[in-house]
Amino acid sequence: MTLWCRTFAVFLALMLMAANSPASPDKDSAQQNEKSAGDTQLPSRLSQLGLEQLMNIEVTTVSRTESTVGRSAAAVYVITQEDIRRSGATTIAELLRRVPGMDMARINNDTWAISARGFNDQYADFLLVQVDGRTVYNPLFGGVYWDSVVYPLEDIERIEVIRGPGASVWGANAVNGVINIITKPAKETQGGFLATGGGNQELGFGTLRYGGKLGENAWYRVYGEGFDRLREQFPENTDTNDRWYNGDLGARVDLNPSINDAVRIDTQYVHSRAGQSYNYPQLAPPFSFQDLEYEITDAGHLLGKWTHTINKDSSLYLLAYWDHFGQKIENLAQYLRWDTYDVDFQHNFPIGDRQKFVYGFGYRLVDSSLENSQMDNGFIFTWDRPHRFTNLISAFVQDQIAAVKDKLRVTLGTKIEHNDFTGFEIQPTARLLWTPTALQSAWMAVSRAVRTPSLLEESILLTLAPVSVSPLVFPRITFNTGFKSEEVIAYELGYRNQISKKFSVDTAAFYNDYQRLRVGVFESPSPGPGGSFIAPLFIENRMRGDTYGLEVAANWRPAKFWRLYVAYSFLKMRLHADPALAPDIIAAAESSQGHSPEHQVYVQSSWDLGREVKFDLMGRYVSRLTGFNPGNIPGFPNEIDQYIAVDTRLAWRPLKKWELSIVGQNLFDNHHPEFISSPQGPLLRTPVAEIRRSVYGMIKWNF
Amino acid sequence: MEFLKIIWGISACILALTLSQMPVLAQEAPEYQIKAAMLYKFALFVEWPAGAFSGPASPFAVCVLGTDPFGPWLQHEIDETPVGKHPVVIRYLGKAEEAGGCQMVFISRSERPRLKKVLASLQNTHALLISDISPANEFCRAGGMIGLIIKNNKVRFELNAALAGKKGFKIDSTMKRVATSVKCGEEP
Repeated sequence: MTLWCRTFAVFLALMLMAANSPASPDKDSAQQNEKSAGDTQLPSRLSQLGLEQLMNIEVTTVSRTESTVGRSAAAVYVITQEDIRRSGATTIAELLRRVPGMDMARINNDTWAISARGFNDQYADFLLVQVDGRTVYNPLFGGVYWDSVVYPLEDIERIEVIRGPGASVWGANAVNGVINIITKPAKETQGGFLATGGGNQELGFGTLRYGGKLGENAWYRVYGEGFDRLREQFPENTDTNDRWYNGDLGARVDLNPSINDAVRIDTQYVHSRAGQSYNYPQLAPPFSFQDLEYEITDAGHLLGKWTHTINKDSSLYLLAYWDHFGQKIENLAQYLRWDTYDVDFQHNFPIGDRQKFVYGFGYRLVDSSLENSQMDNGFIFTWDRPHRFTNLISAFVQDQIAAVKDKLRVTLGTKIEHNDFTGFEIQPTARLLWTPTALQSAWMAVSRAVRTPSLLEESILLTLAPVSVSPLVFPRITFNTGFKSEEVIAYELGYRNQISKKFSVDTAAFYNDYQRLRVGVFESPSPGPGGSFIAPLFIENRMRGDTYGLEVAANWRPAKFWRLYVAYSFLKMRLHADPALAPDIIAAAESSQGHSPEHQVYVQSSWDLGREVKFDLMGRYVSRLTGFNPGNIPGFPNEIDQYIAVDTRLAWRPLKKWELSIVGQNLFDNHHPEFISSPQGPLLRTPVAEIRRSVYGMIKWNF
Repeated sequence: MEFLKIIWGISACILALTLSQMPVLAQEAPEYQIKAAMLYKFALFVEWPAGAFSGPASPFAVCVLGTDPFGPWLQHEIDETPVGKHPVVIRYLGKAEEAGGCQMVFISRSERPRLKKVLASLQNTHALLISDISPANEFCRAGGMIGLIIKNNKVRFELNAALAGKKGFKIDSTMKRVATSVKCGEEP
C-alpha cells in the first residue's frame, strides 16, 4: 500500500475505535449480536417511515437471512428524507445530483438542465415529474420550470426516481425517466416547525409550518416559505442577472372518513421572480440587445384524491386537480398562461393468486393563452394559435404474473393515449423479474415511449438575433403542425445484490434507440419588416440516434456511525441527423450529444459523531462537456473541462428540538460552469453562468 | 491537478479497503428496531383517554416491563420527536405495579409465565398494553390491546379494538385497516 492508503487506513482504524467508545450512539456492545442498522435502503430512523411502510420491512430470523432487496423490474432509486436532510441542498433540483443515471447541471441561479440518460438541455423534455400525483408537465415545451417546483424540503417524505421509460403507466414524456416527489401525510407533520438561515449566496431563507388536527380523523398542515438567492457570475464579469426571489404558501388536509377511505386535499401558491438574460433581435442597429429581464411566475394548484380500499389486495383511487401557471416577462410586455384540469382513476385487484391487475383512465384539458411580445408588436414572439384548448385522453392496463411463485415475475402493460396533435399513441412495456434468492434480483425490460409535441412546436414564431447584418437576416423559429412524436425503444437490464447487511449494489444497463428526434432546419430567407430578411427555422423530425450506458450505486456501512454511498454513471450518445441536411445544421443538431457527461461519479460519506452531531462530505466528478458555438457568443462555451465539486454539511442538535447546521457547497472552487448550452437550434437559451462557492448556516426548531 | 490526485488517491484507498475489509458476517435482523419504530407510530395513531396525561405538556412515558429486548433501538427510534406536545420518556419497569404514569407499556416475553397476573394489575392504568408474546390471542384474552406478530417475515399487529375502545382509546382508522386483525382475543 502506498503512504496515502496507510494514512487512510489509520484514519479508518481511528474511526472504528470511535465506534466502540461510549460517545457513539449505539454504544451497547452487549447488544452487538442483536442487530445492526444494516439496511442501506432505509433511513437510520425507521420511525420516519409510515406505518404501512414499516410493515413491509422484512426482518431476519436466525434461520433465514432476508432483506429488502428491491423487487421492482425497473431502475428505481429512492431519495429518503434522511438523504434530503443530509445533502444540504436547498432546492428539489439539487437533490437529484446523487441519483445514478441523472444528468443534473445548474445553468444559472434559477435555471437547471435536468434529464436522465442523456439529452440534457435547458428545455429537456424526456423526463416526467410529478408531485403527489400532479404532473408538473409544462405544456409549453413539455419540460419543467424547476424554479416553480418548490416545497419545504423537511415535509417531503421521499423522491422516487425511475430511469428508463415509465410511459406504460405514466404516459407521454416519461421517455427517459420519471420523478415522483411524495410529501408527508399531514398526520406526520403535526406541530410547529421553523427553519431559517442565510449565507454568502443564500441571502436569506425561511420556512414556517404548523400542523394540527381538524377532528377525530382529520389532520392538516399549513406552510409558507421564501428565499432570496444572489446571482452567479459570467466569466467575463458581465451581469448574469439571475437573482432569484421566491415565496410559496400551501396547505394539506388528510381525512379518513371511514376505515377504508382516505381523502387528501392539497393546495399551493408559488410566486417566483427569476432573473434571466437573453439575447433578443431588434430591427434598429445594433440589431440585437441583451435583455436583463425578470420572469415573474404565479403558479398554483388545488388537488383532491380519494382512495378506497376494497380489501387487502384491491383498491381504487380518483384524483382530480386544477393547476394554474402564469408568467410575465416584464421587458417584453409578454404574458403566458395555462390552466390544466386533470382527472385520473385507477383500480387494482388480483386475478387468482398469481396475477395482479391494474387499469386506469385519465383525462386532461389544457387551456392556454400565449400572448405576443407587446413591446415590439410581436416581432420577437408571435404565436400561431395564441388561445387554445388541448385534450388528452388516456387509458392503461398492467398485469403482473407470478410465473414461478416468488422467483419469476412477468409484467405486461400498455398505455393508450389520444392527443390533439398526433392522435393515438401506444406505449407498451414487457418486464421480467427474477429473484433467485431473497438477497438478489435481476430484471430486464423492453418498452416503447414517445414524447408528444408541445404547444411550442405547434404554435411558435420566435425571431432570434441576426445571423448576418448585411444583408440583415433574422432566423425565425417556425412551428410545424406536422411535427410527429419523438420515439424511443428502450432495452434495459438490471441486477441488485445485498451482499451483506452492510453492503449492497444496484446496477442497471440500457440501450435506447431513438427515432424522429427534433432538428431545426433553415429554409431560404424571404423579405421581412424594415428591409430585413427572415430565414425560417423549421422544427422537423429529422434525426435518429442511440444511447447506451451503465449505472451503479453501492451502499456500504463500515460501522454503525458511518455510511458510504457511491454512484457511477456511464453514458454514450450517438446522434445521426438526416445526411441530406446542410453540414452546419447537422453539426448543430448532433452537438447536443456533448451536453451530457460520459462519466459521472458521486460519493457521499456520512458520519454520526455521537447522537447529536452529523457530518457529511459529498464529492462529485463530472467528465468533459462539449458544445457547438462557432460564433463564440459569450456564455456558450465550446468546452467545459472535467471537474470535481465538493459539498459538506455539519449539523449539531444541542437540544432535542433545535438543530444548527452549516453547509458549504462547491468548496474547492471560487466559481465554475456546470453546463453547456447551445446558442443554435430551435429554442432560445440563456447563457451559462459560473456557479460560485456557497456557504450558509441554518437553524431548525420544532415546536 | 494536485487536488485531483488527492481525491483519486482517497477514492482508490476507499475502494481497496472496501475490497479488503468487506464484511462477510451475516448480521441478525433489526427485528426490535422495527418494533421500536412501530411503538412510536402507534403513539401517533392512538388518542389517549381523557385523564391519561397530568397536563398538556406532561411527558409521554413509554415503559418496558420485564427483560428489555430492544437494546439501543427504543432510544434510537423514539426519543427525539415528541408525541403531540408531550416529550417522550422511556422507563424500564421491574414490576407491573410501577406502571402508573405510563402511556404505553410494552410487556416483554420474560413476563409470559405470569401474564394473567401482570395484565390484571395493568388494567387500572391509562396505558396502552402492547406485547410480542405469542400467541397474540392469548395476550389479548388476558387483557392486552396490541399483539405484535411476525408474519411472512414482517412485523404485523393484531388489535383488541373492543377492549381498547372500552378503555377510552381512540384508534385511528388507518391503523385499524392495516391491522392483521381487529378482533384479537375474540373467539373465532
